[in-house]
Amino acid sequence: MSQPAFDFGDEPADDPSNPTYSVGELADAINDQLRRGFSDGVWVRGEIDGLRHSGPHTYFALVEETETGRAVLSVSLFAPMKRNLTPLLKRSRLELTNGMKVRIFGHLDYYAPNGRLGLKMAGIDPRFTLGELSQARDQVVRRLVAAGLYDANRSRPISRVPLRVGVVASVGTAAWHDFHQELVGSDLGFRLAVCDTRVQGAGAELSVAAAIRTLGRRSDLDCVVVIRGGGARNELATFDAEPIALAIATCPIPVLTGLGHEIDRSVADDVAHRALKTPTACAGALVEAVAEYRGATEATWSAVAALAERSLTQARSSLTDRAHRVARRTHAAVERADERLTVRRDRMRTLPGRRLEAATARLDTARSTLARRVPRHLDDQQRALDARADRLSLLDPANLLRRGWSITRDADGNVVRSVRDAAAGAVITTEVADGHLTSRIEEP
Amino acid sequence: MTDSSDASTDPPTDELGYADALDELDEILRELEGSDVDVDRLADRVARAADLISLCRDRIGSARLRIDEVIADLDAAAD
Repeated sequence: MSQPAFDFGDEPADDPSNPTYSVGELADAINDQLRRGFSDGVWVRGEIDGLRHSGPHTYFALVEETETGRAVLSVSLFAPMKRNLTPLLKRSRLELTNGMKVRIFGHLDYYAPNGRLGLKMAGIDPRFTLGELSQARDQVVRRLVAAGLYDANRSRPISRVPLRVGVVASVGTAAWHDFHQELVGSDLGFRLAVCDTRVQGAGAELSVAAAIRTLGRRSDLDCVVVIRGGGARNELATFDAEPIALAIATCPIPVLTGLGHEIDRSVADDVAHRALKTPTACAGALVEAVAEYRGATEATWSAVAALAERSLTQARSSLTDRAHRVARRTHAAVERADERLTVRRDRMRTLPGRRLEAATARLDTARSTLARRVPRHLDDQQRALDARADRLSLLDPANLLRRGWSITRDADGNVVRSVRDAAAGAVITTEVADGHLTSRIEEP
Repeated sequence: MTDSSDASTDPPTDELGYADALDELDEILRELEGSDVDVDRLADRVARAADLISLCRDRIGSARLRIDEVIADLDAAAD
């Protein structure tokens, strides 16, 4: 690059060999010199900063941190050139963002109205940006592998029924809407704990990582889902960042990603328990897991029901067999009982008659005995009584008196049993069979 | 002779059963057949004994009538 020489000696102001420029003339001169010096334009690399869109145009600064300080170059991407570059950027799935490292082509231009030197952008080298991204990504992966964290989250067991889901997403975006609708549409009773977080742009790395760590500390979640609605490849670089990768790798709960990229894969996807391409696919995986479990449970219940039905059928059959056996045996027993009853009935027909005949015979005998013995007994009693009467008759004083015996009594009525009982002159009364005699004792 | 055999304390013969009457009669006979029977009591005891004999005869007579009836009934039923 050659530099024009300006000699401001003592020459007169109107010296043709040493002309004096007006500001506008100088600006034109500078631009002429720039075009001569960088006749075919210039490639320059740096990091985008201060990106802004103004109408159809885009402006940013290309910066580089050097040992001597910060170097800055203003870049303008005007609408016509922007239209030319857009297909290339899209093919490479890149989008200009702050912090993006780029190698761009353009023409240097001194803009007279503000006196600033800038670059009119006319081209970009996508491979440079992608290479930078890949290199940064590889470094993060290498560090995770070295720390033994690359497969850490994948090794965590995930619930067979992941109904309690922590979600890291930017609520209100299409990604969130797709994910949410998929779960709601399943009617499977998902419960969500949502961390509404920026998932791209400045600060997204730290906020996403913080959200993952916050949800990871909860004990009431089956998994954490990180979703994003897609975008440029370089925006996906957020999910190549080490803070997010570390947060996922060390999360005690399985982490699923659905970052909206059909082709590219981020470090977050690599270290996640499972990486799905889109938020919808992520929700679909959860729905599928729960539905599969529900199906398996229903199949198990069906098997249990079938087994129970089979057991019941067998039991019913066994019971029926037994009932039939019981019925047969009962029938036989009833028949035997009937036979025994018949025998008894027959015996009853004859036995009472015989018994009655015997009883009648005994009764007749008793009656005969009674008729014979009782009068005899009464006769005995009669005779015994007559004997007693005879004895009494012998003892009866009236009979004694009739036989000539008498009873003598003194004046007091006492029986005179001895001559000593009656003194001379005493009056005594003698009872005989037919009356009384009164006497006076002459001499005892 | 005990007070129980005193004519004034003797229970009415209607209240006596046949066996009791016979026992009392036997007792009176044994008493009268003894040598120390008081003459004054003799007539009372004989009278009591006569009552007892009469009672027993009535009972035997009644029994005979009943028995004859019963046996007649038995015979009638058997026929």
